[in-house]
Amino acid sequence: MTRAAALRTTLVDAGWRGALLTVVGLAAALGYNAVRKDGIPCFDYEPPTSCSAEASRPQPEVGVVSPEELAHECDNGGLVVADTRSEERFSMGHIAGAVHLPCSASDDAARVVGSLLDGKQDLVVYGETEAEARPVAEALARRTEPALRVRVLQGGFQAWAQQGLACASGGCPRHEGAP
Amino acid sequence: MIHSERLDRLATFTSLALRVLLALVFLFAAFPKLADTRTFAEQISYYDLWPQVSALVAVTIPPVELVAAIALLVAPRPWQRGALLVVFTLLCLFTYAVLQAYVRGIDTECGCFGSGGERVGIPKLIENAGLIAACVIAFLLEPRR
Repeated sequence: MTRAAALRTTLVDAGWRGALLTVVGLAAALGYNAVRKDGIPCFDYEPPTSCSAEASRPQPEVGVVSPEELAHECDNGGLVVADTRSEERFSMGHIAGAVHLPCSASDDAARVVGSLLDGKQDLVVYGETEAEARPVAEALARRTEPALRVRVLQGGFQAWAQQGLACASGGCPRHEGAP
Repeated sequence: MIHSERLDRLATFTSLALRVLLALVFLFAAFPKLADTRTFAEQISYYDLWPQVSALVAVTIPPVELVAAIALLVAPRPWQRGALLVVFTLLCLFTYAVLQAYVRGIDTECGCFGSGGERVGIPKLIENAGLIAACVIAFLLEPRR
């Protein structure tokens, strides 16, 4: 018998033995999982959506846009501008056309935002300052489609207002499912 | 003749040493994951391959690792070769998972030895490549008698 033939025979022999060992292991696995107190459901498992899971996902890039640049994008139909400040501050004055986000980017908030962003390509998030809005923008960037461009307004609402750009006032409309 | 016998003994000893090494690695890998299957399932889901089967994979992989490790140590020789194939296959699967996570920029724990271990990256890939090489060498050096 040539070396190649001998190796082939050995591989085939090892193959079925390995398959049998795997079957034994699988049977032991399913049996053990069935009898143990902390066994987990094999087929109805929901992957976690906790912060620790988010921290393990790749951090999508969140860009920055200046107030002047944003002012020039007002006629962009695919753009959503989102305000992360409190409802009270939103009603006192916000960027014209902006929508109000719930204060924290919770799972409920992400669902509300999801409905707002349907069909949109661009999201600009702002708070009183840039630092205030950035964590919310990053959390939303992780939860939304990768094709959505997420940016933070440079300088926040303070910078927008200081430059005398378009503002509106009035309370936020209630969105279905918003907390 | 003596030279050939020495080579045979060296090959047998090397194969034995590699088998023991692989068995120990897989034993140390299996037990923490058996003890905390839920965390292992979470770690698998972070790889973002097929998150919906994370639990099934988490439940089945550690016992298969355990059976293969025991077979590498104590089973008759033909079954040891079968166990080497199982270990080789598992290592290839793990390496693929780590590689695709690394390429996609997924920063997560490997989950190879339970929680708190190495993260996905080049060192883990090199480690896995070494273990795969050990499998292949041990298989080829196994006496055919």
